[in-house]
Amino acid sequence: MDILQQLAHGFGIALTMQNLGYCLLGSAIGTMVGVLPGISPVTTIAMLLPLTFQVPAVSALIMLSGIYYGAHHAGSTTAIMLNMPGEPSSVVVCMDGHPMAKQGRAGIALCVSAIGSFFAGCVGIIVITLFSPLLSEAGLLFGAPEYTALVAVALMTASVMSNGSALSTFGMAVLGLLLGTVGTDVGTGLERYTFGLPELAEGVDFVVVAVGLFAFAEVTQHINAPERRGALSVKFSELFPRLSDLKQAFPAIFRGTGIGAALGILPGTGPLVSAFVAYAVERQVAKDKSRFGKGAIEGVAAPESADNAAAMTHFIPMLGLGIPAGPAMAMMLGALMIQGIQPGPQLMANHADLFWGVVASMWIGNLMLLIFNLPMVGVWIKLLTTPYRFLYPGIILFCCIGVYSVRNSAFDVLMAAGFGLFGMVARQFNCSPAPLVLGLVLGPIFEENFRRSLTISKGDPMIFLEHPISAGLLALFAVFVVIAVLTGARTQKHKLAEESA
Amino acid sequence: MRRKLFNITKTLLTLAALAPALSMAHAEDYPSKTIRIIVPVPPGGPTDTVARIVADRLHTAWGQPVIVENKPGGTGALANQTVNNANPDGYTILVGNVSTNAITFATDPEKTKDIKLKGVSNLIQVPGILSANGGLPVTSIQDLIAKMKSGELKDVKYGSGGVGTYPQIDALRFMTKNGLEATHIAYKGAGQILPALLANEIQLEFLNEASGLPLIKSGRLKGLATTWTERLPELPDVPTMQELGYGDIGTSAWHGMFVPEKTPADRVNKLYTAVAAIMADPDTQKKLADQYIKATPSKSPEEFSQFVDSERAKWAKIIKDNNIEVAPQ
Repeated sequence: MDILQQLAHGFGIALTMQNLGYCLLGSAIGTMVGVLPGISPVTTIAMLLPLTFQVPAVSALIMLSGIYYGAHHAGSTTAIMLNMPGEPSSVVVCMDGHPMAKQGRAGIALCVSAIGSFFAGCVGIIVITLFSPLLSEAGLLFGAPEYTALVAVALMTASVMSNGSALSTFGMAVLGLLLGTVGTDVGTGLERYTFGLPELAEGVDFVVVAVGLFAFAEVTQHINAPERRGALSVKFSELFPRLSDLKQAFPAIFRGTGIGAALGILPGTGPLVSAFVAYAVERQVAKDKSRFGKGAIEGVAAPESADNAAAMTHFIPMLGLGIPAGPAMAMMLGALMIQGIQPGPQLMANHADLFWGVVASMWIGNLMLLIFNLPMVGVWIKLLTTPYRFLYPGIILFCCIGVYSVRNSAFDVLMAAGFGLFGMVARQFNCSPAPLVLGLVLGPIFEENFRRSLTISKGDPMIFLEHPISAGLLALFAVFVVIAVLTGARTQKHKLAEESA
Repeated sequence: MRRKLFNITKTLLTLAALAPALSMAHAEDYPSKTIRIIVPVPPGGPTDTVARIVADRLHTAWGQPVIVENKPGGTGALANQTVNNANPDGYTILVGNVSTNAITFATDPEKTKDIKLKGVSNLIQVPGILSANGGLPVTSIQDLIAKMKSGELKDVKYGSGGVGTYPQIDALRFMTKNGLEATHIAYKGAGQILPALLANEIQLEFLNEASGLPLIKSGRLKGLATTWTERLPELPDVPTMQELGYGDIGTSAWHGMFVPEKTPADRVNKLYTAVAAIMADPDTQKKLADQYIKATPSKSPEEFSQFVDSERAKWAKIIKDNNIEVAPQ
């Protein structure tokens, strides 16, 4: 009852004309940033941060968080329509979202991801509302050995990430892991594979790789292709999912939401990792795995829901303990401190207005986003009828701006171009970029935590089994390996039988 | 028609080429265009915060746009290089800190040997707190040392942002000075360090006041000592490292403003005067105090330059005395 009262009080704050305005503004900017490929919410928040100096703290946080979850909400649009992640963590949605669009099922994919985002967002907010203080403590259960084991399980999923041959999948994943080693090694302070270039000292940025491999490579794909003339005729009645589609999508939305909500709470993971894990889980539970990568609706619903649930629960370590989990959260903490508000365990008690106001605004923002996104489906479909010669130059421009603005570096733009070239070649050889991206994201987390664990245990590998959570995760890892080996053997037998027949 | 266009273009080009020369000729015209402040760290954190506050106030005072550009990379290498190679006309400014503009000069002489910057003024200092996990059974620094020596407290680990960062160097020096053994664990930023300290994965860490204070006040962490010159008003019961007899161990990270070496003195002075006024403004000071940052402007550009020189000498000696190796030899 107490919580309901608090929340009602929060709505009183969030529903003032001014805060509604900031919520609308944040959601609208977030949607725009989410739709534009290359421009990430982190850079947008950084650019708008000085503007928030002048407004009350609660309004500032309402707007900034609106940008953050709004971008995650809308990031799937460009992924589905153009095979380009509109916001970095929607790379996963590309894999099945874009094939769906190619089959003329773009509307269905967009609707399912809007519904999934909304549902996952709501669940995320319920989790924040009910369990914020409790769960920020749960995040602390994950130390170095636990993260090591968790990432080992997630990396295992790289093996099921794409439909390509085992060799190409493995090769791309290893390449991603190697790229992840570039930069200053946190353990020793030494630079690795930077060739003395200060531009590489912070490592290869994920946005650079995602824009290169997905957006730039996609554009180059069409240089030789004949100009498409608005030929994608989609009837309005086919825009919206049928009951059978929803039946297929809903279990995936539930699973994705659960995974995202859980992984988002951990300061060391976040929306992107959650989306990857949700996609892999979907493939594992599906009866017919071969549908994935070719437009499976679950492959859109699950990662999109996980992304949005995690984007919400990622606020928990920040609001509950003042831990800056990720760069966007670090900037929101900065915005609070500039207003003279001390984040930390006392935030909920000392600044109840702020906490509950922001939580209430998340409900409103999520509803606004659904209203933005669902009716827009038709408009986005129209985008497909735009001739490439008008569409792509604009996209390249936005991508360059986005990549440049990550750290004001022209070098990064060139590097993205290089990855674009590599992506183009990789496509010719049917090498999916997804395992590379996964390796790049997870590799450094794995290496850092693995070495940290061993430093803590003074070289004793038993640390991974002594910690119950990491032991449990490693058991799961072993189960996955056994399943992979067994199914591998079965398909092998199948093939042999076919060949001899 | 074409000839006319050509002529116009030529005139414009000539004007554009002359513009910098013209503005050079009249130093009193400075500033007459957009000023860039380069920051060697990503957004968020004290360096970025103070740069943005100063940018905002400079814009109000001078009526020219002032843009903050974050150029993280190689502990300041990228930002230092950018400003070093910029036109020395007072339109490109660096806001650096003790790590990017003193410690790296000692740990990585190869990469920093060509960087020649002129100091304008110190801006702020950020007090540090030697913090311990709340459950660590110690009441004070003396208690910590005694229990570590007697073996009652075994296997103590301290965290930092990596080898060669001041929290690591300070903790190492503290342990060495007391003849204690402790393991160093490296983390990437406060987002990893705080959970590790709260979860007792590490027991000790030099945190900046803004990160540590709320957790100390709530009892989740213990403040053992502060690095400030006097006791902090927020933590009157926590002694300073100095009064405990640790002299210069412990860093209150300074953040200051630099320009390219050849920037004309009158422009440096004009910039200094404006910045000094901004830092003396009660409104700025309140904004900073809200974030537990101390405004510490220098008395003159020369004083700041001398301060930076002494800091570099001090860190060079510390790095050498403690055999800290970061850059490849």
